[in-house]
Amino acid sequence: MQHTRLLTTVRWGALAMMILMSIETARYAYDSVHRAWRFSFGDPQRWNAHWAVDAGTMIGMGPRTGYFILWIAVVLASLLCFAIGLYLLNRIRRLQLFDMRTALTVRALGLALAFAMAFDQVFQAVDLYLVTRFNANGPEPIMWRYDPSDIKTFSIGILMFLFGWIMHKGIDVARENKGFI
Amino acid sequence: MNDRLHVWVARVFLLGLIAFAFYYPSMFLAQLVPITFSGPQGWQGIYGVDDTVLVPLWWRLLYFCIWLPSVIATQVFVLAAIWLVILILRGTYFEPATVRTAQWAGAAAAISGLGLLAAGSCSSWMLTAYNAEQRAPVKLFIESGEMGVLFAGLGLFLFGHVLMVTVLMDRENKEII
Repeated sequence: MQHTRLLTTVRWGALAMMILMSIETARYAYDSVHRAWRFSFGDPQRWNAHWAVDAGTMIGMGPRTGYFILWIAVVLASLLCFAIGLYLLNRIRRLQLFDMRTALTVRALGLALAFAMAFDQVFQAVDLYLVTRFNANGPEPIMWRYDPSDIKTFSIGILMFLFGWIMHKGIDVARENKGFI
Repeated sequence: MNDRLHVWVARVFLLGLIAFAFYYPSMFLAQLVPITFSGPQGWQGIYGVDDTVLVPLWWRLLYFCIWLPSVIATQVFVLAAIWLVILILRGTYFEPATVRTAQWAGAAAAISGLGLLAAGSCSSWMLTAYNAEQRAPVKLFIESGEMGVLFAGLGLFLFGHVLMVTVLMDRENKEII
């Protein structure tokens, strides 16, 4: 049977991806939180020495905390994608391929990816504004900053969402056919 | 959520993809063509590059080329995604053509992510290679955005295999009947 061989590939592929993705999840979580913490609180010079911030500008704890919370929210949105992705890979590894929960997980992953990337684009748009808010000549404007990686991942998210919908439809049709028989 | 909403999402997404198919290569060319073809002094002023450096054409062309695999892979991804959405809008769901297109899109996205990580690792080294001093080494470039594209692409590729199982099972069932 051709599909039995393919199932073995899928199973091992999912396992390999789970291992790689677990490593990347840990690296991403540590690196992002560490950078956000250091920039917001760890070293006051780091913020003040930013290329767009006026020399000698004093930035209070309130704006720093707000900036940190916003940055962490973006990181958490991405970590949610990793968590859903790992859950989905585990279902695939266990060959739970065509049930409603898998279809819903595929849709959830697609939506989470699209949301996380849209959120990242919003953060990038306001990032420079927030950092330069206390400059003598006023802040840098809020503007969209082109990031092709975000757009590509967003696109894959929408494709996943559409595939989840197709799976959902397929499972519904299969159920109706069984009922009919 | 009903079917109409999904069709609407697919149509809007298709328009966005078509726009990106033109915007992405134009941005790439707008960024790299000037520094590749603006003469030996074209790299002066770039961060980390000496103000007096003169870079020969072959080296600038090589710099241009290290970005090409990922740009081509991105373009393949976008075209495959456009075709995939068209197939979905036509109602071609569990067919080998749809599944193969999903696998192409996933593989191309993964290659584009990997290509950018590789090019990013060489970029500083290539830019500073003609400096008198302070040359940057080749350094592993890990950027979360590109890692995301790599994993999302691999995921889509694997998901294509999952869908292929459905297609094969369906075929085998039909043959038995």
